[in-house]
Amino acid sequence: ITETMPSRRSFAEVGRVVCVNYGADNGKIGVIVDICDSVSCLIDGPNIKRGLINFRRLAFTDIKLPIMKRLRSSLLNKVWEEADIDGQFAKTTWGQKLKNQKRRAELTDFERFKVKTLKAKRNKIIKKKAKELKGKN
Amino acid sequence: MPKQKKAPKWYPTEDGPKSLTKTIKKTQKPTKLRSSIVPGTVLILLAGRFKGKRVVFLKQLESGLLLVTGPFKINGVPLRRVNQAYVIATSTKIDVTDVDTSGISDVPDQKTKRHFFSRVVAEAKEENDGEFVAPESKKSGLTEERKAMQAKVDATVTAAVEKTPMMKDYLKSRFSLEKGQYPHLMKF
Repeated sequence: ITETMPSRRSFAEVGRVVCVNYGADNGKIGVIVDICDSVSCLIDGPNIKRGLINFRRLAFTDIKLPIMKRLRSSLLNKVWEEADIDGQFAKTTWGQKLKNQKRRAELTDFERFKVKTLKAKRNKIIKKKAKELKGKN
Repeated sequence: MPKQKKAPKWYPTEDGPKSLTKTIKKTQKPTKLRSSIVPGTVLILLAGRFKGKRVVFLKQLESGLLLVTGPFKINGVPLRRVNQAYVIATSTKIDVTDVDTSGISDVPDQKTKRHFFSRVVAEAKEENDGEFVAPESKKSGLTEERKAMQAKVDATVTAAVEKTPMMKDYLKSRFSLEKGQYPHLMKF
């Protein structure tokens, strides 16, 4: 058995901050407050209504809150705000990607046109410069 | 046992007088305009010769059709009537409060039975000395009135369009769906 690097894995545990990726709360983050069984857990947070959710609908982040199991919603929200989980998550690459995805979905027709033409313009400049540099070598 | 309704002894030979409460409206209202369509809205035409073109909405005519313009010099769409059903209203709006479209109407004139958009009928030409003359090539059915109105309206609209950066290029381009774009998921 070869030695492998310890993989950084997030576990389903009380206090694990998760991102919901299916259903009405798609894209929102919450916290696991209790494990129900091997399939579902109790989730809560300022963005999500407290309730049972299947693990399949969750993606674990590597943020963990030091809470005790079945913490009351109001207290949980307090802990959440103090730790500024929303801010922490927004700083991560994952959080930024989600934010960009949401923004892209909200683009109006005019904005979409602007993005398309400006991207094309930018890429043209980049390619031209790259070609120039390649030619030098 | 339920009481059975007795059949009447006499039936009238003719239908009774029509109910006075049901009257047919004498004035017809034009089609209800979608709340998203407001003068100055950029519309995407979905059918016809100019499908995919983005045009500026000016006003709703008496018939219910929408009056739009390219403007003509920007994308080749003239002052035209368009049905609301064949249009996507985008959320982009241009300020057209200065535009004067009062001279454009859908309602046929009482005397001439023609309106702004009526097709021009080519006048019959007299035969020259009994000889057959080759039929004159059909002239574009544009009256001077229409051309003048087009120029007048477009001047103000174009001025408003040029105020926003990239708006002119936007109106020049045609709308199309690309891979991964689904209209029911897109915001316009």
